[in-house]
Formats: sequence, structure tokens, C-alpha cells
Amino acid sequence: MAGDTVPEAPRAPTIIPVLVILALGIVLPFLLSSGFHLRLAMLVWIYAILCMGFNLLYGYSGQISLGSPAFYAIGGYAFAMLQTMLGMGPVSAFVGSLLLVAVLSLLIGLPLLRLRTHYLAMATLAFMLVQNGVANRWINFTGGQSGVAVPPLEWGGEPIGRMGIYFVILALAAAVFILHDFLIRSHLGRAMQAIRDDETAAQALGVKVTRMKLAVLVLSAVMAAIAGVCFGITSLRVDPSLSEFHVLVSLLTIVVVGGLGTRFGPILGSIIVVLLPQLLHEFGELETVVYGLFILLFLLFLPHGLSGLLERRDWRLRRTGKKPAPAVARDLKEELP
Amino acid sequence: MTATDPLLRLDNVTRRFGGLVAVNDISFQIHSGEVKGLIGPNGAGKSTTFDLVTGVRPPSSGEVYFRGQRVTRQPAHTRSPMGMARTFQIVRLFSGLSVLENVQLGLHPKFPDGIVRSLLRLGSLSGQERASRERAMDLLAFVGLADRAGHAIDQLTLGQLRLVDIARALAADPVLLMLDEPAAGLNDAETDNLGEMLVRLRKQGLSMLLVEHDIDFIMKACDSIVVMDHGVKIADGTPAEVARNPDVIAAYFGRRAVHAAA
Repeated sequence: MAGDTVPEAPRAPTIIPVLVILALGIVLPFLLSSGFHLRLAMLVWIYAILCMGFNLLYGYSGQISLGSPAFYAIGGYAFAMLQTMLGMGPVSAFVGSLLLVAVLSLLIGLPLLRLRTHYLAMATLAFMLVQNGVANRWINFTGGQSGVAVPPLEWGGEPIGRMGIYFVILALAAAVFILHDFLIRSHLGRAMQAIRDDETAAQALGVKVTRMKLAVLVLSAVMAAIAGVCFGITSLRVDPSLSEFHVLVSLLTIVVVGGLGTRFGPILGSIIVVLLPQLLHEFGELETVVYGLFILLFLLFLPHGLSGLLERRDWRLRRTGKKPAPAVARDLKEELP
Repeated sequence: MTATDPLLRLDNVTRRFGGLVAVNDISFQIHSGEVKGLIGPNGAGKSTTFDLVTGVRPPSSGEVYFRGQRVTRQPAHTRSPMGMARTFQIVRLFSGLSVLENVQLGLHPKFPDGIVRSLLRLGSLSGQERASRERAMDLLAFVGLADRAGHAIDQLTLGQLRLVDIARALAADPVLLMLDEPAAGLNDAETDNLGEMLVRLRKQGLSMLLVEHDIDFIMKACDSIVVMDHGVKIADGTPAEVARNPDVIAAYFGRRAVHAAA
């Protein structure tokens, strides 16, 4: 039977760790004592969603696009404004905001993805600055500095409590996490990494490079928008701080600390970046310095991030059964004219 | 496409780069089962011709037909699903992927296209992934690298990398394999090993276009040879015919050599 000779997938192929992480996410709120802790847990998931999109785009496909915070903010604003200005329900506003961001990212991606490396980074950074400028200064439309209020989520006429909101966010994070995991373990993840490593060779093998880059950009923008909506429903307000520099810095810190182009990097990184400042509170004035020191240590000693510790970097296949016979000769003969 | 139609046909293909005519009015054909060599001194236009056939860049004029279809202006990614595979002169493997995953990428066009289509065919994907791993293992066994499947790319020698590149190109079941200087940088033993493998592939009926500097290698491996010089085709025939052709001798050794030979 041919199955005997099939080697294991090079990287841990099971979905079990994903399910374990999600199960921990379900149990977590029952272990937390205060609303503040629950809010931190929500923030971890929100940043994880945002960074999974960025991980697909930069970590896996090698496209250094810094537009994620802008899509994060636009997602949040659209979710709020579709409700307050057009009177949509939360579900249709959610779908509407994702569609809006998808179309917008497509329009931006078409010209910008022709650029590579730092040119792409600069162009997308400019997009983020423009978006932030509009949010700050078009006061009549965006509410300026104070932003826009997000109507609280309701269920049967009653506003949903903190616990309920947490589970809404967890459900969205789970969907994003499972999609992220599916993509990177499938042939699509392989194609993304091929694009990252060598576009010309990927193209010669039949990978539709331009389309794939655009698809990943749109997907990562939609993930950012989901994160923005989640931020809106926890904070009940979206303002220009969603696309300020500190968000971009957090984003980059998370993927580097967690591990760029790894399965669990975005989640592990988010946990560190959200919780570390809380743990460092007792350092008082020195907090930022100690935080910076921690990040530096990560970069020096864990170049592949936390996730790099868990994932095997040099792949050794476990093979069972006999060595495969060179059957390819026969195959080729049959298939050639 | 009828049985007598060539597999690949170049009709008066020209490529200009500004004022430079890199490829000038080249025509030749490859028939099914044929192994064709493309040789010429440095700067003869071999690599540009290779790029025009594989779709890396379009010709300025002229047409390229593959399996009876005009592919002149079709982008590079359309070649692999049609049955044309290529290797690279400077090995271009994906450094972030294992040896096995590199070969699996050769099977990419057989997988569902795009994110949405893949999600719609979720049920059959794991079976397909498994089958592609099996096929990639068979190909690695064919080139003698089955025991390297799980290794990272940087753990292999140049000779081994070339073989992985060929295994990756073979993964898509090509009818025409395009090899860009496969022996460049290899030692004698590695070159012999490569030659042996090409003979095996030829026996299986695979058509090939071989761009090569190593004259001995190409004389042994090919059914017929096209010789280029300064962008122009100067000879097209069997290895024996080409070796006697005065224009070819002149291109390689100068005019005086022709007189000496005569």
C-alpha cells in the first residue's frame, strides 16, 4: 500500500495545538477576577487577529506592507458609521465594513503591489498617514480627535455584557486563526513562501504571483478590519489612535517577538506585547526602558521568535515503511505522448 | 495539433533591447521526443531565446507556438499547466522550504486555484496533499535524493540542488523540459550523473531543450543542435553536421581555424 511510504508533513501537521489554544481561550474568562483582566484578554485576541493578517502578508508572502493599521482603523470607523449614519444593524454593518475594506485594499493593492521591499513599505506607510490625517482633520465626518461612538451590541433588547463581548471576539479570532492555519499548511501557504523566496521561480512553476499577492493583501486587510470591529465593540469608541504609529510599532514588535512567518507567532507575540507592560508597571519611570531591553533580548537570543522555539527549524521527516521505489519512470512513460 | 506538428516552434523571433538586437529572426522547431541543444559563444543570445520561450519576457516580433497554440505573449505562469517546465542556470530553489516542499511546488498547478476555490474543495485537499507528497518523494528517489527530503535547502551541495531543481520541474509531468545550463558549476562526477539522468528521461520520451556551454556534454546528450552567434542562427542539424559546419567552427575558433580545418 502506497500510504506506507508517505512521509510526514515537514511541520507539525495536526490542528490539535490550534484547538488547545482556543480551548484555553474559552476557559480563560472564568479564571479572571476583574473586568480589567478580561479587557486585556480581549486586547490579546484583537492584536492576534490584526497580526495574523500581517503575518500572512509579510511573514509568509514577503510583502512588507505597513497599511494594516489603516485598515484596522477603517474597519472600526466603517462599523460605527454604517450603524450611526445609515442605521444598519450590527451584523450588516460588520459585513459592510469588511466589504468596504476589501474593495479599498484591492484598489490600493493594484498599483502598489508592483513595488517591492522598502518602496512598498514607504507607499503603504504613506497610505496609513493619509488615513490618519483624514480621521484627525475631517472633523465633520470622522469626529476628529474624539472619534465616533460605537453603538453597544445588543441581544434581545439588552446590551451584551463583557463576558458576551469576549466570546464574540473569541469566535471571530477562532475563525481567523483557523483560516490562518489552514492557509499556511496548505499548498497556498507553500505558494506564498515561494513568492517570498523567489518570484520568478514561483511564476515558472505556475504560481499566479500577482493574483496571489493581491489576494493575500485583501485577506490581511479584511483581518485587520475584523480586529478594528472587535476594538469598536469592546471600547464603544473608535478614534484616530487606531492608526497611529504606536499601533504599527506594536504590530511589528508582535510579529518579531512571536516569530515572523510562524504558525503561532502572532498569538504568542500578542500575549507578550499586551501583558509585558502590565508586568513592568512596578518599574515606574523605567518601564519603557525595561520594555525596550526585553525586546532587545528577544531579538538577540530568539531570532525566530517564541514560536521558533516550538516549531522545528530543521525538518527531519519521520518515515515509516520501506523506501519508495523509483516509480516515476513508469509514470512519465504513461503520461507522455 | 496533428501528429506531425512540432511540439515547440519559433517563427522568426526577434528581441531588441534598445538598439541591441539580442535575438535576430530565429526560427527552429522541437519535435515530440526530440532533445535539442542550443549552443553558442557568450553573448550569442541563448539565454534571451530561453526567456522568450519560457515567457519571462515577450519577443519584439515573431511568434512562439507550443503544442500548436500560440503562446508568444502568454505570461510565464501559463507554461507549467500546458506542459512546459524549466530549470534555472543559477539554481533558484525556495530557501524557506524543505527539499520535499520545493518539489511539491512543481505540482502547484494541479491544486485548486486561489483561496476561495481551495476552501470550497476542502474535502479533497488533504488527499491531494498526501498524493503530492508521495509523488514528490518518488521524484526525489528518481534523482537519488530521497534521503534528503526533509533537509533545508542550504544543507545541499550545488550538484544536489540542480537535481532538486530538475525533480521540481519534472513534478508537473512536462512534455517539454527546458534546461538552462544544467552542468554549469558541476564537477565531472556530477556532470556524468546528470548526463545519465537526462539519458534516462530521453528514453522515457521526454522532449528537452538544453542550453549548455559544455560541448562534450551537449554532443552526447542531443539529437540535434541549434547554434547561435550574435543573435543569429548559424547552424541547425545533428551533432555531427554541426561539428563540421565552417560557420560554427569560425564562431568558436575564428576564421583562421576554418582554413586550418579545410
